[in-house]
Formats: sequence, C-alpha cells, structure tokens
Amino acid sequence: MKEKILELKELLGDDFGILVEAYDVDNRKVLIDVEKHLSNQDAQQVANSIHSIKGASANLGAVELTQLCQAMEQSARGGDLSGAEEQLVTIKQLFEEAVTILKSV
Amino acid sequence: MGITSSLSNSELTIKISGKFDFSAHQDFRNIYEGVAPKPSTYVIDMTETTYLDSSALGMLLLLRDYAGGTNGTISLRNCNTEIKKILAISNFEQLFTIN
Amino acid sequence: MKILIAEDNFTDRLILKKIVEASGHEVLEADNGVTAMEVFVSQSPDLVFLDAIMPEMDGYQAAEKIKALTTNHYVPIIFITSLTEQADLVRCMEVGGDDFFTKPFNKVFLEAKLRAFERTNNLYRTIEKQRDEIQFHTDHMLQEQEVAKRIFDKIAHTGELHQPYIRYTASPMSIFNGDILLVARRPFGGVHVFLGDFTGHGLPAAIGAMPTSDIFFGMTLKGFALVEIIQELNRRLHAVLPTGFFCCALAAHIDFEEHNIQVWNAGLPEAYLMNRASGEFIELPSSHLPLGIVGNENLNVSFSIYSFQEDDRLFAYTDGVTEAENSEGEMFGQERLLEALKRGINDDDAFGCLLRDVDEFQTEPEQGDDITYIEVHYSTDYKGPEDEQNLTGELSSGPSDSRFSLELGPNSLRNFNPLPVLSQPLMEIGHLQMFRTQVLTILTELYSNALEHGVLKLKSSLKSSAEGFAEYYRLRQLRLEELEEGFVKVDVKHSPSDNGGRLEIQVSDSGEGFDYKKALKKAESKGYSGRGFPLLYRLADSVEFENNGATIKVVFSWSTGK
Repeated sequence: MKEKILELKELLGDDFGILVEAYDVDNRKVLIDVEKHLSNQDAQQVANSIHSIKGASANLGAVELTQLCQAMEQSARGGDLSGAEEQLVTIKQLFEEAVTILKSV
Repeated sequence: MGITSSLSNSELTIKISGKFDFSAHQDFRNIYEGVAPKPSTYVIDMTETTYLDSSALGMLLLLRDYAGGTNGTISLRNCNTEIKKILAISNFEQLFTIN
Repeated sequence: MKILIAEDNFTDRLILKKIVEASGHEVLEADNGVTAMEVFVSQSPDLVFLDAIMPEMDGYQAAEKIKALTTNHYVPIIFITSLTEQADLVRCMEVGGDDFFTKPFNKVFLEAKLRAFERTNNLYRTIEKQRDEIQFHTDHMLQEQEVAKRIFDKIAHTGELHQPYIRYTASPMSIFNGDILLVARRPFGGVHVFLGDFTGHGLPAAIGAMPTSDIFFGMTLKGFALVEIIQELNRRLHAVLPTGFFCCALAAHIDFEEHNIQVWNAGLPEAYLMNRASGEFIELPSSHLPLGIVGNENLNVSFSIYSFQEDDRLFAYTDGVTEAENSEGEMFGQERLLEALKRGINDDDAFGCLLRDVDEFQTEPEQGDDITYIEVHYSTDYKGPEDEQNLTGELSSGPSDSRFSLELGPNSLRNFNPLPVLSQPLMEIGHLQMFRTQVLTILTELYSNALEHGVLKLKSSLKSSAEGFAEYYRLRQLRLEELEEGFVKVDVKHSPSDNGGRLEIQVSDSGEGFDYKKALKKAESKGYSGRGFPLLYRLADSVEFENNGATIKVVFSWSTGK
C-alpha cells in the first residue's frame, strides 16, 4: 500500500494534502452513515455507502480494506445484513490504519 | 466499371469494361488529359463495354473536342450490337470511326 | 479535450482529475448525475467519465441521456467502476458506454486510453465537419435545381398540344427530365411539331429549352420554314450548350391542306408513320446528329417527305419509353413498343394501347420516369388561314403609305426565304397585324407559285400521289441546286384608306407563264376550295394575270370598321 500512496503523492503534488484530508473526513462520515443505515436495516443503502468507501480505498492500494468492503457490499446488495456489524468493525480498524499511513508519508 | 489505357506510337487506347456512364467521367478525362505530348490518334476499345448512355456520348464529344474536333482522330472499336445501335441513332459515325 | 468527470467520491474524483490533467486535458467536475447533465449541456465536453453509482441520477441513466443528446456528434462515455460483476459491465455497454475504467486507477492505462479516444474523436470531428459541408452544398444545389425546374416547366410542354388531333403524354411536372414537346401553328396553315430530349436533366435541359422554345415558336409564327428553324436551333444550341451536351430531336411540318408531312429525326429512336386503314408502318429513323454538336457549316438538313392523309398518324417518342423498367430491371424495349402500336392501330388506338402496356409494365412509375410521346392525326376540321383570328397585340403606328420591292436571283432563291423579310415591314403597318395570316398566306402562295412553277418549272400535278410528293420535292431540291439563272420579283405598295388600307402585291417570275385561264376554270369547278389559286381568290379582293401568267397582281384591302 505504501508504494501506491507514494505514487499518488507524486501525482497529486501539492494537492496530496487535500486528498488525505478528504479521504479521512469524507469516509469517516460515510462510516457513520453506514451505522445509521445498518440500524435501520436498510440493506441497499448500506451497500451503496460501503461501495463508496470501497472505491476510495481501492485507489489507495488498501487491498485488504477494499476486499472486505467488497464482501460486505455483496451481501448487503443481496439483502443480507447478518455479518454486517462484524465486518464494519474490521473495516473501521483497517480504515484507521490506512489514514495513519497516509498521514505519515 | 474499369478503365485502362495504353500508349504506343502516339496512339492512345482507352479500354472500358462494364458500363460506360457518368461514373467513368473523372477517370476517363484524367486519362486522356494526362498524356503529354497529346496523342495523334485515339482508340476507344469497347470489347468489354456493356452499355453506353447519353453522358458517355457526351464524354466522347469532350474527347473529340480535346483532340482537335476533327474527324478521323478517334475510333470506337469492337462495339457490341446494342452500342452500335445507340451510336447509329445518334449518327455518331459522322464524327467517329466505328468498327 | 474537454473532459467531464462525474464521480460522487471526492478522493476518486480528485485522483482521476489529476491523472487527466497530467495528460494535458481540461477537466469539468460533477458529483452527481443531475449536475453532470447540467454541466454536459452547458459546457459540451468532448469525453465523459461516469461513475455507475451516483446519487440523484446514476451513471446508467446519465449515459442514456447523453447518448440521446449526441446522435449527430460523437462524445465517448467511459464508465468508472469498481463493479466486477459481468452483468453490471454488460449493462454499462448496453446503455451506450464506449469503454470502462476500473478502480484502482492506473495512470499509464488511462493515459493510453485517453490518447486512443482522442484519435477517434478527431476522426469523428473531421467527418462531422465534412458531412455538414456536403449537406450545405447539396442543399444549395437542390435549390438551384428547383429553380431550373420551374423555369423548364413553363416551357416544356406548350403550344397547340391541346388540339383534338393530338394525343400526347409527358411526365408529370414533378419530374425534371429534359424532354420538351412543342407544337406550333403556322400562320398559313399546317403545324410544326418539335420533340426534344436534352442530355442530362437539370440545368443543361433548362438552359437549352429556353432558346429552343423561343426560336421554335417565334420563327414558326413569322412564317419561317422548318429547315430554317432547325438551322437556327442548331446554331444557338451549339453556341450555348457546353461540349458534351446536345439535344436529340425530331421535327416535323404537317401540311393538312397539302396532305403531306416532312420529318427530320436527329438522334431520337425511330418514329413511325402509321396508317390505320392499311396497318402499314413507315419507319422514320434518325438520320442526323443531334442538335448542338456541330456548327452549322457541318449541318446537313434534309427532310423525308411523305403523304399524310386522313388515315395517317405520326408517332414519335423519346427513349424514356423504351428504357422504362419493370421490377426485374428489364426494359420495355422497342419491340414491345412497336407491337403495342401495331396492335392498336386498326382501332385507331395505337396511343392508348401503348399507354396501357407501359403502365402495366412499369411497376414503379416514379423511378426515372421520363416518358414522352406524341401521336398526331390528320385533321379535317383544321382551320384554314382565312379563319384565323389574330390577336391584335400592339398596334404600332408604322408606315402609312409605302412601297418596296425585292428581286431575288438564283443564289438568293437557293439559300434565302424572303417571306419573313417581306412580312416584317408589312406587320409594322398599323392594323395590318390583325390580318397577318391572310397577308402572309397570299405572299406565300404567290412566291411558291413563282419559284416552283415559274422558275423551277415544277408541275403541281406531280403532288397528287404519295410517291409524287417525294419526287416533287426531290426535283425541287435538285433544280434549285442547279439553278443558274432566273428571278422572282416582289413588289408591294401600300396606300392607306379611312379605316384601313390597301395592299397591291405584284409577283413576277422569269418563267414562261402558264395557262391561267384553265387553272381558273378548274378552281371554279371545284368551288374554289383547296390551296393555290382558289385560296388566293378567297383571300384577296382581286387577282389579275399579266405576261401570260408570269406576273400576278393581287389586291388586298382591309378596314377595322371603327
């Protein structure tokens, strides 16, 4: 993942900082949305929100995070929210790790 | 429709295969205008020409004009019956040698 | 290129934007489908990146809308997707996506894609520009064609075509085919018929048709003979039409009173003289180059002359009939045409027979439909010259007492028709225009008589049979060519009276005269009917003979009765 982030840093130049800010703030918000949709048992909305995090994370090269999001999204699309809470916990964890790496570069 | 040509001893032979109609216009003209010095006689080989319409007659007249406008410089060779008939109705044997 | 990126996720959008800008393109952004459409409409980007999942309006809908708006103008759509399901990817293509780009974004990949799309874009733009130019020019040309067609329509089928002794068919006005059909009445009896087929449709036809119509009607009205009209037509068309354009034509002079027809066919398919009683068909094949090809010094106008009686019909047509096609692409052809005419002639319905056969044969009449043909009957109730009602037109105040004479020697007699020249000053005399036909007829009769019987010593009795005609005119031509001495002298004196005037016309020839008393008796016994002297007697106030008949004096007076 670090390699990819360095690439991005080079690509974005001065805007890299904005990227980090945006990733951090936006996706944190989305995570809150996910929790809300989850408590409403709104599977489709859960799927959509997770989809968004998945995409953003993929661009950073956070492979594990992306894959987990993919799995959660798949189930949610199918209307299955059974393992969602547990998946969300891991996702939040991985998310924090990613943010840390981003800010450290 | 295909047009080919050959030049020998100052005689330009232009052979037309298929229908001799307006689609031949540009090619026909390019061929005879592109020969320098101007040939002294022309032969239009109609062995494989299947059909002739009034725009073809017009093209022949243009060639005749280009070639000096006199009789005897252009001959139309191996015309089939249909084409001979069209040429006969227009009395083009008065302007071209037809065989 | 100007590129629109529609992606709801900020970071994704940012990364993509950076990559695209690094490739040298301008970026427009939108974070949902609705904004994307607004930006698309107002900014007209050259390429669009669409995220499949967006709020307000997703990528699929946006794609459909964009494709609907860009039917004439290519704008590629690239779906941004982290979707991996094949069905989803298929859907991207189905809604009109041209490509997709998966996350995570690969910079090198994207640059390559953009370059490829840029090439395609340029190609499309070039084609669109050329297409628009072509369309513009085509529209312009169509408009000019339309104008040419309207000009042509006014003159293409005119004259005496409505007469009961004529049956004809010509294409509906919606078709611009270059065929013209004209029939003009001669001032002293008979008609001229002209059927022409101009090469090409459109402008060349219109350009050729205008002077043709003017010359044909103008000269016929002034009394010129057909050969002179043809010469003038050829001269004019040769001058006006570009090389390669010409007019295939058939011209005929029908003299109902003399029962003969002269025909000249230059480039049209063979026409026919049909006799409904005997069923005999005489072929009138093309014997001359079409009009406009060679200059008049190389033009040789020689007519065929035939007798034309009550049962005779002239049938002429352009190649539109024989080239009419059926659904198999087969042409109607000359055999079918002749067969139809022959089938119908005995019932005097050759024309109708052909009309029905062609109609049946042709499955799609709109295709290349330039069908023109005419059948002219002998006419017994054809009005004679003395019944002519001339239009008054403009009455000029011309000479009111004058005299002129004209003497013609062998060369002039050979090459020159004095009648229009003679009639010209007479027509300037006020009011005499109303009697134009009568005066011209008198002059024609006197002149013909002087030339043919006096100078050329032809016997009119020769004209009483069909073969005799041809022989008469052959001899006339021959003797005229060989003429070395002789003359015709025409003297016209005009004196005015209260409401009109008086013409004293004297025509002398170098011949020995003839037994005019006998001729008069004969005319008397026939009740002064027919041409020749009887006609003179009907038209003139008095007829006197001198010099044993070599000089004839005619008096014609008129008054307008006002």
